[in-house]
Amino acid sequence: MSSAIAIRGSGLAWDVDYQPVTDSSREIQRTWAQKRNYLQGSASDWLPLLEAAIRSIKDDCTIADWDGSGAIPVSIQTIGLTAKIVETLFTMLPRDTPAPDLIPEAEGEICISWSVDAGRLFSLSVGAHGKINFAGQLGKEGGIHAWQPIDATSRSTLEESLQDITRYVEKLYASTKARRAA
Amino acid sequence: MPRRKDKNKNARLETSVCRSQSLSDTQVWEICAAHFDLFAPTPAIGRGVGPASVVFDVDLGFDADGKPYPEHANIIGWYDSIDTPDDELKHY
Repeated sequence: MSSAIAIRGSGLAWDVDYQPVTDSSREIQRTWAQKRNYLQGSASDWLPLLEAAIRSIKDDCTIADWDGSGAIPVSIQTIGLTAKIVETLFTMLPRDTPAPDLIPEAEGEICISWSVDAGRLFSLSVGAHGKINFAGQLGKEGGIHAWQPIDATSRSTLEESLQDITRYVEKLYASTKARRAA
Repeated sequence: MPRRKDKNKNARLETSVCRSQSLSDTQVWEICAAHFDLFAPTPAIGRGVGPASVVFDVDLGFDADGKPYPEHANIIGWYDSIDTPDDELKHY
């Protein structure tokens, strides 16, 4: 196995050009990304919060009519897939990306949603149907709504499935970062 | 967020809301107790409040049907297509 790391600024960082080839180096890169994003006790430390939210959905929304208005139960498969997606997005997104909201939906899906303001928001719905439906308002860049198949058979295929989603969420916060930097 | 009455694909998409402008907090929770909590597995623990203008701003409207209580209304005008599955429609 060969992996490259470079000393940059105040800490270690992956060489930006480095693309892992073997399974083990991919796993190391994922672990690195997760640790990099896991700033314990900080605002970026949102993975444990979402794990708690997923547990709460499992406790409350896996029975029929959980909302009193005929909601379809959220299946264990949907909960498991959402957990995988959240964990994967956590490693793929820039580390200062705020936590999304997790919202159970009456159709038995779980919505993962980021909201900056009325003109900038993005949400995707995860169900047990092998696809994700998503929509967003990305400020001056306009809106998007679409669906795409999702392959969670392995971490790599899931990461591939979530590439576009990651780009949209990054766009959502791009202007906020630019304002902060100015 | 919108759903069809009786899960019938031919029924319109609508979102059930309560017109609360002239109601006190207590009155809103009483409506909730009578028309929601009795049918839900657990009582409601919170509610969202917003001005009607946010609905009109996105070209949606209200059908103030007054059923099953006078302040009840449905948000209507959601994009719909008979050929598109509901799980895709909700993100239009």
